[in-house]
Amino acid sequence: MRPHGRDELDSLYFDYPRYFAPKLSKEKKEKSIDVVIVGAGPIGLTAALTLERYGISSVVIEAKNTFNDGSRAICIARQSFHIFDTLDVVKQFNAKALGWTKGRSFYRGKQILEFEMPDNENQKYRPMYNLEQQYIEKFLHDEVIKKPKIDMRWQSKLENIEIGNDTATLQITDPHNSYNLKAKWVLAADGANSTMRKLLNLRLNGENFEGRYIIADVKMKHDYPTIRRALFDPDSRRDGTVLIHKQPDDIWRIDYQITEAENTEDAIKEETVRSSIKAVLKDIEFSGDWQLEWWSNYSANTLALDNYRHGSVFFIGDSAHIVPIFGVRGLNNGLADAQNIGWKLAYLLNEKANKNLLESYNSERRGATMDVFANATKSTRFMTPPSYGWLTMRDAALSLALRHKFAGALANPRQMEPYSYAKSSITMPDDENFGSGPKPGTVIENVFFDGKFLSDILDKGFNILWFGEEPKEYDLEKYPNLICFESKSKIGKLYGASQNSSYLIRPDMHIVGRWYKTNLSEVLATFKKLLNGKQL
Amino acid sequence: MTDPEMEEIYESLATKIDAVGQEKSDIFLAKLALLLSKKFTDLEEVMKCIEEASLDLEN
Repeated sequence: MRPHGRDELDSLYFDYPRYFAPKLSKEKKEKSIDVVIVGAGPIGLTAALTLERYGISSVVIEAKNTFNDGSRAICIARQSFHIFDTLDVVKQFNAKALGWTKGRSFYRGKQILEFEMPDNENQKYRPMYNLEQQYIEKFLHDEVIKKPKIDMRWQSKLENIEIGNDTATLQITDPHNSYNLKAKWVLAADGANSTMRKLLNLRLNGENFEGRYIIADVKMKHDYPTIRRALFDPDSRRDGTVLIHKQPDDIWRIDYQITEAENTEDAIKEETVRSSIKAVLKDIEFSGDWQLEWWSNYSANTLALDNYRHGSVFFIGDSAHIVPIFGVRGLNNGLADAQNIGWKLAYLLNEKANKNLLESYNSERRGATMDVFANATKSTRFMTPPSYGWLTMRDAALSLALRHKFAGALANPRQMEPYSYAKSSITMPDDENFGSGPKPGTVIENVFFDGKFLSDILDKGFNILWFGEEPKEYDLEKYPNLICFESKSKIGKLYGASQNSSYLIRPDMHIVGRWYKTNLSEVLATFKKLLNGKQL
Repeated sequence: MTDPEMEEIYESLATKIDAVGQEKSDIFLAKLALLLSKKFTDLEEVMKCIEEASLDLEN
């Protein structure tokens, strides 16, 4: 919602562009395509760019005529920056987004905890960045329109879908006409209120939590570093919780809990929002001018589809899962969904992999959502205690945390690390001879050496890290990119390598498997098995 | 006690407080304090805990 007198897209800091439907003939619009992506939010655009990277064409349809005004993700995790890096858009993100490593928690005005997220000289990107969703979409869209292989169609609404054996037929309407588009594969990236989900009669299942929040953006010149603040039981909101994030352009995100005494209908009114924010600003000792940019209400849910795949349709992002904001996993998990299905579909369409490989999408990405749910229940109970017992224990932990570190750990937010695919059918069991180094299923540990990062020298396909002598003959056309190191190098040590150790790395930087002592043919055999979608 | 163990304790206490109900939660927690005290051999340590638990209660 916007303040009285201001239009829905009348932002204090962002000029919403207007886009139009393509003026192509009906025949051209109906030309069959490998992949149709429904939704041009951050997830749909990331999927299109990922496919394009491997030479796969797609059509992106979007019902609206501009960027998102409803969803307001702001936290981008390190691994998502790596995704943007592979898509050649990270420069824009780096220039605009605010990186951060720290969070502070306050209980009744006193700081009780400062947490630091893991960061060191081997990391190319900070653990977390704040950036308004409109910019995220703009930077991705700026790249999309440079790509002839991506056919971006705004104001194009999905009306119906029929799923056949080999093709899906989508009925699409734009201001010019109605047409049928045939595609081998469909990615549904159409958000929390997914049209695709409704057309296919699919439901999200899960839990709704009790806590209700107002989420608001305020413009003000506030002199505080980019540190996430959580205020528990502050003067402005007795029995409630407040979260404060700095964003670019002097925009501040203020989320505050609606207390039990307030009803949502009143809480969402402009004058109530203004007075509530005024009280929060007093808590953080800000007395300058401020302007209200936008607000909405929110309540924590853990909802997901039972299966992210329905025939040739794959659900990615919020259309497949709704998670509470506290774990900052909505946008970030969506981006990982897009990358995951993107490289797998591309390998299939480029005839380098078997259809079975696609089976791993649901287990890996739904697994990541279930992991968020498990942690979300814990963090949501802490942020918005659902009963007297949870409130008593929460307040006890907060009070003790003023002097005792162990109690502060109970208030530590979770889920900052990318999910491990250790249990995936295309991840190998670990080689137990390794004493250290990243394990199969996890994302590689980045390393800084010779003035560059390990992530910089990875090819867009699979990569093999080989700790030993460079082989004389190696067919780069057929096999993964081969990167050779000495086992005594900096990387060798961090990866716990011996002579003839090896790591096989997927296009999304997750580790397929590792061998303490091996030969290349064994590694290549695993690579072939994986592309056939066989259990490793 | 490790962090995950502390978390397990935290969760089972929250659930138990709800199970005994708000009215009986004081007596429940007092009984628990006595039972845990009995596990100590040093009176001083228990007294120190009592003192520490009473801090930072003011609004």
